[in-house]
Amino acid sequence: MNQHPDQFTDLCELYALGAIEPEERAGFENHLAAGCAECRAGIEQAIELNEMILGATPQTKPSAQLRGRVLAGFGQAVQERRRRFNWAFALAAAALILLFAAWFAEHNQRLADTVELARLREIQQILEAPDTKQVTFGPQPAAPHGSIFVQQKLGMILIADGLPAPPAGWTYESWVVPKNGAPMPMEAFRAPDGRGISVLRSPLPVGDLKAVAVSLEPVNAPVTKPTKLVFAAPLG
Amino acid sequence: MAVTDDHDIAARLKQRDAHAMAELYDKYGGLLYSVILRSVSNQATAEDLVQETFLRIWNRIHTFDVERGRLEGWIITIARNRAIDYLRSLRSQPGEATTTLEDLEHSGLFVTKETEADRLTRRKAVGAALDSLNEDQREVLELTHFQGLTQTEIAERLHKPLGTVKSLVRSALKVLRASAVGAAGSR
Repeated sequence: MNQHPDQFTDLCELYALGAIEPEERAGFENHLAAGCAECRAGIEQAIELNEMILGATPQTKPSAQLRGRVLAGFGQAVQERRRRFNWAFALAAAALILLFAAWFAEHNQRLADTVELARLREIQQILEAPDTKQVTFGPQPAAPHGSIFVQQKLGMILIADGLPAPPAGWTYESWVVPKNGAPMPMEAFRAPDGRGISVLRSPLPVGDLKAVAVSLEPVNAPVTKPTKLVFAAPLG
Repeated sequence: MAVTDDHDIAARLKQRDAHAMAELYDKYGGLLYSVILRSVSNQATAEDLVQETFLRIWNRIHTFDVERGRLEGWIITIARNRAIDYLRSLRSQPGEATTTLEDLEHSGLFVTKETEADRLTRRKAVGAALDSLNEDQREVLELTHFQGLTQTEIAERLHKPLGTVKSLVRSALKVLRASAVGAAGSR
């Protein structure tokens, strides 16, 4: 049976921290390699003790952005069931970037690039504002569903998934629906692969708004009121 | 119950479920950040290292034993090792002549042998024992656990004889070990 010198008990903790002295390391590892069960158990106990010491660290809150940074690398396409704003923000931002990247690939025109870059910056400002509120709608995946990001001073972003392809000669139009009065058009938008983004860039009377709606409208026709309502998402 | 949750999170991480990563961050992100920040003392660096930590967890989760593994211990060790690797790179001695930190991330070393209640009891006892240490003992533990220094390096940094440092480390760990064992025995 392998001998277990007393000094190795203390070395277990240092070994478990990776802080053993170089001249002691070789001897200790040879001893371990000889199959000392006591040292193996000692290292496991030392690791557990170390983690209790580390785990007793008083907690400091990381920045609010860190969560988004960490999670942005994992499954951007996933929509979180128990959604929190920062995570939703990371997903939405990633989705926006992908959508605009695809758009740029399709429309390689300098002017369009400039205009859309400006639009992207505005979208980014709304998403990054600390007091931007998110409202989700349509939890059923088969039906139109998505999120609305509302920032009182900057405007609103609608991200809708699950939109059917519009009939030829028709396009999507987004609407702001006030609590009192007629719906007001936001902007016409496309929905490649069923996903569309629409942006309203102006201060909003948030308390006076009831919903955001999407309709189908004939291309090149004046937009005065929703022609074919696709969905209306309540804001309250 | 925490252990059950951790098992569930670990199992889902193995299935490459990104939601589980979000849950893991919500549960342990603050702790891992705090451990790293205590080591590197710089918020921006700590945040970078937290990112690295979660990436490493994601890339290594396939080695984790969901049934017997102790997820919290494993990820704390990964976080601490990222911080120590960083500090050693600043000191121009990445992993030099000390135990390879990666070896210590072997998930087989993080095996649950007790209930969560027992672990919490022991953790509380260790926390209380940490408070009972004198200033010199606390200082050397800070340098071993959060700076990754060997006893020789500590002696040089603190301008103390190596024998004194060894004695301080030994006595501090003895107190903590006894508190952990005592708490386990009291249940």
